[in-house]
Amino acid sequence: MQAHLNIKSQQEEQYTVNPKKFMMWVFIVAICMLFAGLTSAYIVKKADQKNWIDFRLPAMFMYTTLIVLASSATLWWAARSAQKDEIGKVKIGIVATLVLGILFCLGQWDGWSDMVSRKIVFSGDSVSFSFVYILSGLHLVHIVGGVILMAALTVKAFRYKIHKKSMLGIQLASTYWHFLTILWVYLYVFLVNA
Amino acid sequence: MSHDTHTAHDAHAEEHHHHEETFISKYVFSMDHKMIGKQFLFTGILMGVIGMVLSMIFRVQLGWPEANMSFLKPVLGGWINDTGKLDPSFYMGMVTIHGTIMVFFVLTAGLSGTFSNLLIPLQCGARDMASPFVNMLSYWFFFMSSVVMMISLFLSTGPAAPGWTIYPPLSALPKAMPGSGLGMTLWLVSMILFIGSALMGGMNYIVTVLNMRTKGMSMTRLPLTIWSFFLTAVLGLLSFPVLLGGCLLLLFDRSFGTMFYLSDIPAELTGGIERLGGSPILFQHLFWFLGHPEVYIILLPALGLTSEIIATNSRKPIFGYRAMIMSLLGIAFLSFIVWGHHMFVTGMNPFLGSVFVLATLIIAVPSAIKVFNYLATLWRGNIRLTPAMCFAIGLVSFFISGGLTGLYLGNAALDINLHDTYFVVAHFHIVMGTAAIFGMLAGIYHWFPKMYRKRMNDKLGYLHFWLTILAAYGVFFPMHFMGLAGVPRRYYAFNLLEEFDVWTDLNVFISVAAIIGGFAQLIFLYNFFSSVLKGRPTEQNPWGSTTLEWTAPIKHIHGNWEGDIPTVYRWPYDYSVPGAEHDFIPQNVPHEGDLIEPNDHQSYRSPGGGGGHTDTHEVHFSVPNFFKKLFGLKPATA
Ligand code: HEM
Ligand SMILES: [Cu+2]
Repeated sequence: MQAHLNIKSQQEEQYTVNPKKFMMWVFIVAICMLFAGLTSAYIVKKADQKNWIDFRLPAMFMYTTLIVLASSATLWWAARSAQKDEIGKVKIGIVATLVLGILFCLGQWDGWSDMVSRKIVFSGDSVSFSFVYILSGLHLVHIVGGVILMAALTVKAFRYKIHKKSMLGIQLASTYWHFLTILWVYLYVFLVNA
Repeated sequence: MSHDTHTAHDAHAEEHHHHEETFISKYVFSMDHKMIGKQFLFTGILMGVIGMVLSMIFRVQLGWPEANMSFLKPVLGGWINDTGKLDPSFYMGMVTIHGTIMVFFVLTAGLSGTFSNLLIPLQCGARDMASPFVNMLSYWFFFMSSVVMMISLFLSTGPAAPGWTIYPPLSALPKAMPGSGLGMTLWLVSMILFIGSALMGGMNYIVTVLNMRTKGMSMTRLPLTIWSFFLTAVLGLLSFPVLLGGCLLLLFDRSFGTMFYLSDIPAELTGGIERLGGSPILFQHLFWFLGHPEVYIILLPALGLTSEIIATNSRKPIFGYRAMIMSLLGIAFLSFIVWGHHMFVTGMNPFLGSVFVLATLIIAVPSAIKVFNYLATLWRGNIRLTPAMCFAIGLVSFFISGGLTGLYLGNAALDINLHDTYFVVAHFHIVMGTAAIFGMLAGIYHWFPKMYRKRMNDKLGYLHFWLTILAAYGVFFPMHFMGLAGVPRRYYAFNLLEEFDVWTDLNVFISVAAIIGGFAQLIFLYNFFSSVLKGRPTEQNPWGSTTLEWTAPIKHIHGNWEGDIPTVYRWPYDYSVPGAEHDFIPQNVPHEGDLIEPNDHQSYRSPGGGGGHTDTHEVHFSVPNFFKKLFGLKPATA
């Protein structure tokens, strides 16, 4: 079964972009459309003003925004260190990203608990409640995928498999992770202002 | 898994060293794009047969609403009651599943899945897709999705029944009707799997086309098939995620107590509290934002296959290659800003409505350009009426007759009368249903030798063609008149209201045509499977085509070509080049041997191009020349 894959090798070098990286970008476009659709739905629904209750977002969401920004910074630092073959820093950077990623998840959970304690529940009186859960929840699903990627990268880093000549894994993961950071910042700004 | 390590290659990796291939790795979990294409084709054909059988059953119901249908008891069991009557809610279920199967499973996955997989690597000159593994996953997601959809047919409460557009509240309230329960849940699960499949496939197609073309294969040397598969994948990538979002919200409304789409629903229907303040129209926006691009996701691949088949079998370059690409791009872009034409009667702001009218009518322009180019390609061509060519011309015919009714529906003032009548049913079955099915059949007849290294039987092909085209027009053409007179769609029987009595005979006629059309497909199935098993062998390039797939050896090998991938020197439509030895020059033939300008294909497009070759008007047919000749002016010389 593996034999099929060797045949690509002869050609792969000539491609302008690595096909896997390209796929990652295309995948990101698809995720963008998912959230573009849902945030448009939010705007359209809000516009008819039926049963729409505005409320304050949990303060925690502000902190998680900072956390996810920090996690992007550590990952960026890890990738840069890998490029310089500084393996020790790579490990630190990736582990830090993993920890921050997990913290982000816990933070979102805490934010939801805060909302629940204020009687703003998922299937509550207003569609506006549900929308906040849907948007942050679907983002969180993608983050969980990212955290799993980070865990895999951690294993790789501790086996010394991330270095100057083996960057593909960390590059793919970085593209995805930074995108999720931007996506959350967008969603946060959107929910605060919309 | 370990496919990572294999792409971490060394430059001297063997090209096609054959490992032991087990049955499982070759036929089941195959990662070879050609095999995956066949898997899509088989599943698509199977789903197509199921969808067609459903349609024949409900056509029997519509044609003879008073008849005793107990002869169907062996198939439908309890859905035929003791007096021999079809259960009305099962009728709705069948219509829904028929639409869903045909639109998504046959004409999206079956059509794009088959031909994008088969042709993108072969015609671009790549050894396989960008990610064979993801490609395999794409098929298996499709497979699971089909299985789930089929299971829903066998539920005691019946399958989903709100129509293929699954509008809430019927789809959002599990208690609304029998099919709204588990059947609807399975529909949504199936659709979510399907979207996964479509996205994975589409990502692969896009990356392969943009990134993995062979040397010399510039975007303007791509066959139009590839252009249309590529744009289809782009449309899918941009619109399926939005449907995914819409379906998720629907799932939450059904099962988790939200009310995105629910308004003014009393408590006894929700089994809990009363639901106020949601918006069913919101769902329609999300659905049609996919839904309209979706109809082009269906049509574009069929148009692409047709372009190729018509050029090859007219032995002429496709007329207006660049205009074809521009109109594909135009259609792709416009298809995102017209979804509102499905919603003219939802009480939308009339100003917004007229914006949608304008955008919708503008789509007719690129569509008309394409039709014109097909006809101009045929014009004075050296036409070979192979079965594939017949079906391709059939597609053009349907595209014209169905497109014209689109113009009626695109005008909001008319659509307010025609919406939800049989006129719409006629429109979309002709322009999308039959047209795309014809494209798909044309593709199967044309590329069968590539897929199975055998030829199909031509005589049976012609018989199949004539029966199918007559039956298709017989079924759908009369529906225009019913629609104009206001007969609504999705009614279970037309014998209960006196106004409908005048349509009794016509309904019988339509049903007879539908049944003939259905049985005609047996000819195709027989031809297909018997040719797979014992068709006569084919040469490598049976149609004298120029594109790269015919330069690959007849025997399928992983990686498609032994030795190097061919380099491309010319555009894909060098048919009947004046002075050339054969009436086609494959894309991988360098220019040295040519007798005419060796630079590029431009010369064949310019009016009267090629200077001294004014005697070969078949090749140099062009609009300006046509009119100049028409008015007795001299043809322009380049
Ligand atoms: C000139 C081009 C076209 C125009 C102006 C046009 C316009 C329309 C309009 C206004 C409707 C809504 C009718 C209603 O529900 O009241 C409609 C329905 C539909 N059209 Fe078209 N159309 C065009 C071409 C196409 C093409 C090329 C396809 C598919 C390949 C297509 C597929 C459909 C389908 C599937 C529906 C019905 C969906 C449903 O309600 O179940 N149309 N068209
Ligand atoms: Cu439309």
